[in-house]
Amino acid sequence: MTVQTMAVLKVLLTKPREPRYGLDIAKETGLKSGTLYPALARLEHAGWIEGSWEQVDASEKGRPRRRYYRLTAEGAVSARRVLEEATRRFSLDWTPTPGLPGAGGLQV
Amino acid sequence: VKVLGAILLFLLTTFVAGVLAPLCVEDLRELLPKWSVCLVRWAAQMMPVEHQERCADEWEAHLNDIPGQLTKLGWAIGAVLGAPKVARELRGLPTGSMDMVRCFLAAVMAGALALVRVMVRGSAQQSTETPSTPEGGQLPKPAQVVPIGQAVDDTAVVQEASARLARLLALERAAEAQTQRARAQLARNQAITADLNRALWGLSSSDRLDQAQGALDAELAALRRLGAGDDER
Repeated sequence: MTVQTMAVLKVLLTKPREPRYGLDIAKETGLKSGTLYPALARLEHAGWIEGSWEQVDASEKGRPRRRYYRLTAEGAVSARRVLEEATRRFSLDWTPTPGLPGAGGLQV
Repeated sequence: VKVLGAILLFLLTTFVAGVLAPLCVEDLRELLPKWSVCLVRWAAQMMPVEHQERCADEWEAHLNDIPGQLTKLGWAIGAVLGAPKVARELRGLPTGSMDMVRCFLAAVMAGALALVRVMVRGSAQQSTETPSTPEGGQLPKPAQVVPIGQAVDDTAVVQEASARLARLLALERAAEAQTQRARAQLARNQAITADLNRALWGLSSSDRLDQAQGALDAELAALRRLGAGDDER
C-alpha cells in the first residue's frame, strides 16, 4: 500500500461516519487529483470504502452531484490495522543513532 | 497630421478598452466554464470504459467546487494532461517512467532468455538423438560393462544416497508438521475473522465502528503479546 493511499485512509478514519467527497479529501491530504481518484477507485474496488452519489437534483441545486465516500466496517478495521502497523514499523525502524546526541538514523 | 494620428490612436485605444475588452471578458466568462467542462469530459473519455461515466460526473463536480474560472480551466487542462497516467493506473499498468523502462527491459530480457532456452533445447535434442536404422527402427543401446572394483564404490554411493534420503524424509516430516500447525492457526484466524464480521454486520451501523475499534484493540493487544513472546524466545 502506498503512502498516498494511507493518507486517504487516515482522512477517512478521522470522521469515519461522515462521508467525504473528492475535493474535500484532496484538500486534507494535499494529494493531486491524478493520484487521489485512482486511489479511491482502488479502495472502492477492494471493498474498503463505499462510494455513493449525492441524492440531489443537479438542475435544482445548480451544480453537478458529488460522489461521497465512506469507510465500510471491514474497511475501517483493515485501515486501522494498516495504519497501526505502519506507525509501529516506523517507530521500530526509526531510532536515534547511538553516540550522536540529537541525531537520528535508520537502524537496519 | 501627427496630432490627428495621436487623436485617432487615442480614440481607437479608448474604443478597444472601453467597448471591446468588456465584451471579450464577458464572452470569456461565459465560455471558460464550458471549455473547462469539455476538457474534463474529454479527460474522462480517456479512462477505461467502466470508469468513464463515473469519472466524468465526479470530476465535473470537483471542477464545479474549484473557485475562479481560470483556476478551473487550469485544473481541467491538468486533468487532460494527467489522464493517460490515471488511465494506466486504473488499468493496473505501470505509470512511472522508470517503471515503464523496467517493464521494457524485463520484456527484452525475458525474450532473450526464451530465445536462449529454445536454442539450448534444440542443441541438446540434436546431441541426444538416438541413431536409427535405415528402416526407421531404433538401434539397441550398447551394453555397459562395469568393472568389478566399481561395485564397492557403487555401494558406498547407495549408502550415502540412502542417508541423504533419510535426512530429506525427516525434513519433509518436519515441514509437514509445521504446515499442519500453520493451517490450524489460519483456520483459527479465519474463524475469528468470520465471528468478527458476523458481529459487525449484526450491529446497527452506528455501533459497528465502535465494535470494530474494540475488537481491533483486543486483536492488536494480542498481537503485541505474541510479538513480545517471540522477542523473548
